Amino acid sequence: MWESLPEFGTGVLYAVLVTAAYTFAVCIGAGRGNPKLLKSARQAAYGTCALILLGVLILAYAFVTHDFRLSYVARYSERSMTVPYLFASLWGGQDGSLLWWSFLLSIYVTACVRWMRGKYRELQPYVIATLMVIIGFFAILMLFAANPFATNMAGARLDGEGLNPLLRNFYMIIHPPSLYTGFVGCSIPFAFCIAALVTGRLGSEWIIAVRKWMLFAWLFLTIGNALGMLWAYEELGWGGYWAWDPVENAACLPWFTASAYVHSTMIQERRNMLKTWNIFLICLTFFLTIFGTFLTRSGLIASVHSFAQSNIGIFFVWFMGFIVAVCAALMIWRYPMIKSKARIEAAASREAMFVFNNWALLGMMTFIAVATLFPKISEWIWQETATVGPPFFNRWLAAPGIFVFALMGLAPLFGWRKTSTAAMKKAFIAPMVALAAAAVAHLALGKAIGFPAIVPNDRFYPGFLGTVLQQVGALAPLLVVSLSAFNVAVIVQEFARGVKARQRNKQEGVLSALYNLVERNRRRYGGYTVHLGIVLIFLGFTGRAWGVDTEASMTPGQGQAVGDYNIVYNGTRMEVDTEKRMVFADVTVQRKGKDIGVLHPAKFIYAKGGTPTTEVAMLHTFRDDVYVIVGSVSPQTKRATFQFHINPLVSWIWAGVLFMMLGAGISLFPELSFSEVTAWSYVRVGAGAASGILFAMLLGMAPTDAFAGTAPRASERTSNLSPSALARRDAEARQRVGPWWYGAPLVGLVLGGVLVAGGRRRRRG
Amino acid sequence: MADFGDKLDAWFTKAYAYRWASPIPVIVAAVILGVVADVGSAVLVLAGGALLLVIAMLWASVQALTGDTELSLEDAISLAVPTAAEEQKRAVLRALKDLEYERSVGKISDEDYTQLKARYRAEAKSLLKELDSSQTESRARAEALLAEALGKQTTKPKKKKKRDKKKRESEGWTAPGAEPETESDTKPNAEDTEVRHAAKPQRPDRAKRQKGEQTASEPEPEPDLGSETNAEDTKVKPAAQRQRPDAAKPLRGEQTAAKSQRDDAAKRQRVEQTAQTAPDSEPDSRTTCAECDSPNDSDAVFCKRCGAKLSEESS
Repeated sequence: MWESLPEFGTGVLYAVLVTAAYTFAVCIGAGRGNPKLLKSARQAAYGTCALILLGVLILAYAFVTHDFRLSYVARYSERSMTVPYLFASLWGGQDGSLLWWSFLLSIYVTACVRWMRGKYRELQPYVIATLMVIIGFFAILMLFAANPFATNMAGARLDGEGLNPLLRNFYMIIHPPSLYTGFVGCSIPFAFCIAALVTGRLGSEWIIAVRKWMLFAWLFLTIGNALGMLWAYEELGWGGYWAWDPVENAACLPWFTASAYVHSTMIQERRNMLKTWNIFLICLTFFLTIFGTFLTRSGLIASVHSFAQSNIGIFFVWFMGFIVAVCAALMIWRYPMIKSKARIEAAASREAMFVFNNWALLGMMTFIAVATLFPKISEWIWQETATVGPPFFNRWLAAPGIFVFALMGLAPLFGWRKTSTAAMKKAFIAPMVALAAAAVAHLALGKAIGFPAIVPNDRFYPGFLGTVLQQVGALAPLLVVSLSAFNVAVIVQEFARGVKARQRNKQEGVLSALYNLVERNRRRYGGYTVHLGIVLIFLGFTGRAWGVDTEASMTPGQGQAVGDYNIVYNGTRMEVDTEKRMVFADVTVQRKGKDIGVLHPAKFIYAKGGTPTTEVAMLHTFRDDVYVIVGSVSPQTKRATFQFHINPLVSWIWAGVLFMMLGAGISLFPELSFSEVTAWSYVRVGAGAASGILFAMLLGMAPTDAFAGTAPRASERTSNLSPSALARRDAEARQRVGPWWYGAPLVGLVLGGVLVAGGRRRRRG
Repeated sequence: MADFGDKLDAWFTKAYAYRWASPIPVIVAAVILGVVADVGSAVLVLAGGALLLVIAMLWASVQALTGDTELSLEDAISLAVPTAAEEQKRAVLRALKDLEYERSVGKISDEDYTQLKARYRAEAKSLLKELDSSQTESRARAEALLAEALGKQTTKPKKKKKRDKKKRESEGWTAPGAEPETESDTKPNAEDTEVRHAAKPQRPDRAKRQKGEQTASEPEPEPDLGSETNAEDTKVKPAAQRQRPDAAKPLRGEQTAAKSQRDDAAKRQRVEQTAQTAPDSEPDSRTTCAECDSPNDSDAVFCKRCGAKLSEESS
């Protein structure tokens, strides 16, 4: 055993703080124009990042060698855990997740410093200095509030407590890193923003620099939130995917402001307007990442996701105050330079649409933030804690959500500065026809196909406000379906117009024109692809309005009608492995008299004790998800209580996320001129694409078991299932695999392309 | 002893060129140990490698701080920072490209298009002129340095020149257009892509002294002016911008005057070639090129399509 590991690890954290401070000081000197100081700062930044890597490796070593002298290792691992879960435990608890955050930040810093070489000479020192401040903050946090290398007071234990069973699944391995990647990625645009304010170089230089960084962070915020939804859907067993939990809300707050920014930045690039907005949005996005981390870790608001209560909150409060003070001071100082000289000339203009979009997204973000903090606010103001639950959020956010959805389709139809009546007529005809046709079709046929256009719901509030909210909720399905048709028509029209223009001017075929159109305007058409994904997601969300929820107590052989399905309870069986007992309640799902699948919801009772966990079983189809949860099972009578949920269009949400990833990937794809690349670059392209596809296939295959809802996903050792039972389980799991499998090659292609970083760029002249 | 010291220095210099491959042996050793022994040993090896990396980086930082290391070519090139005018010029070119696209898909009326295009083009021209005039002094200085270097070059024996050239190439100082002196320049200069930074100070304008030697330029890749990624990767070469940084680049003795004149013309041409990536705009110019009959603006000096110099008669 490495005797001095705890002290060495803590020493590394101190070294991180010292080198970050040293780098900061050198950067300030380099800001005066000394190139050698800048070179020194860059090297020191690399060194600081390498120190953080060293810290992570030391902690990883402690986990794999079961060094239970460390309190963190003892709390989040045990000897029976396999290596993947031991590594996942690095971010399983608060202390380690802070180190993991620092590690991700160090990767970003390394990439950013490397990318900046030879560019942004005046901005570089302040970019690096800002990033070092953030690293320094996390080092202080770890040293004085949550040291992952702290030792147990009582000495080393024989065995650890292990990871929470809820965390022992595939999503634990990918969801936190994905979300952290998104959170941490917002630091780079923030650093550029601060550098631009300090240096006064507030033109389009820094905006262009941060564009892809912000888009990359936004992509991983999207992926992280989607994986969180998937995890909640699979694991928590309440039938839904978003509970408006405070931590869930905290994770989506920066997504709103980042989404607003990626649109608003186009205005500054094109018309040199909205500079103040863009700076504000970037600073706010970064602030919200810190705020979200604070909410998660301080225990301020109770949440299923919360880490344990700790004294870490005060550090975050000071840091957030520091961020606000610095950003406000810089913005006030530079206001004469960032104040827009141009004006929005007409409401019927793209600029106006983007400003409406900014306000709408900012408004939604503010609403969610205030509602999340409402228990604390009410406690402070009225000395009583008032909680708000999912129905509150769902009712209030329906209207602004539909407004933003409508704006998404309207904005591309308007021109810059102003749109003439003739241009508007030409642009609006096809989408309005699509909207009207969809509305009429939905009203006429919706009920017949099980998706009625108007779904009555309960009044939530008395009076006029309650009536308005009730009517909006009732009309929401019709509005969303109509606007979906509108948005799709807009997207198709944009592609069609672009292809026709290229065919007319370049005499290209349809496919060539389409390829070249997208290739030359990646941001625009990548954005339209993202919009298509959002259409699918909105439709998926709306499916909830047509859901069916039933509870039943059944004996073997009994059936229960749930919506269009009939679910027959076959009986129970028990299986045992070294960790737990598994009680399965098998059911057959029928539709129109035919068997369409067998599900195996279960209860897992762990040998170490604790609350039994519920293992959900699902049948995924293009239209519906049949979601079955078993409550209690009587060992004598075999009577079991079930919850059945029919969740229409949920798979469309995951498909929509894939489209969003594809669209972001198109926008992020680097420029390559194959006529100019060397042979080695071809090899890199091929290797990047192949490894990306392979990685995505593995990623797609891995959730197969998770989707099955049958096998002991949490088990670290081979179960004592018979070979035939194992084979049956695996076959059923593969049948039920979700859209991730089909999307894996798509993700792989995108990843493969993005991996070709540093490839030769197209020489534009 | 001195020989051994020289050999050690040479070895370090060689090894330094492959410094980015240094993690590979660590990773290989970790993988082998992970397979042969256990995961803990593999992680320990990686941690050792990380520690070495920390020491190397911090040592390099302190060396740079104390001034013991020379500036690399990249660092020297990066000394030239893009001015605000250059950034603004790029923004205007991007706006022009977007404007052409919007017109092609019918989102903007002809009247607005004409008005906006004229405004953006006027702004771009004024920025280009401003950039041109701001670098006159640097250009003159670069010309003087070049003349001095050329003078020295002609007195050197041929073999040594080739050795010098090879040495410079091995050190990464491949001069753009580094061809044998006797060959005419027909090869596009791949190294240009590395040094085309909008911030670079300009190299001597040979076009003024060698008007008659211009030969047809290489067909340039279709410029995508105002492209989102184009501006982002700062590879757009404005017509007014001259190419080479004077402070840190090696002497450009190998580059012929004809090539430099062609390059200058090509660079001017690119700014004007918005029509190559967009539908042909309404002809609003009053000058017709004698070579290709393309319409050009009345104040254009070179044809925006073929790059030929416009004579006054073609107006």
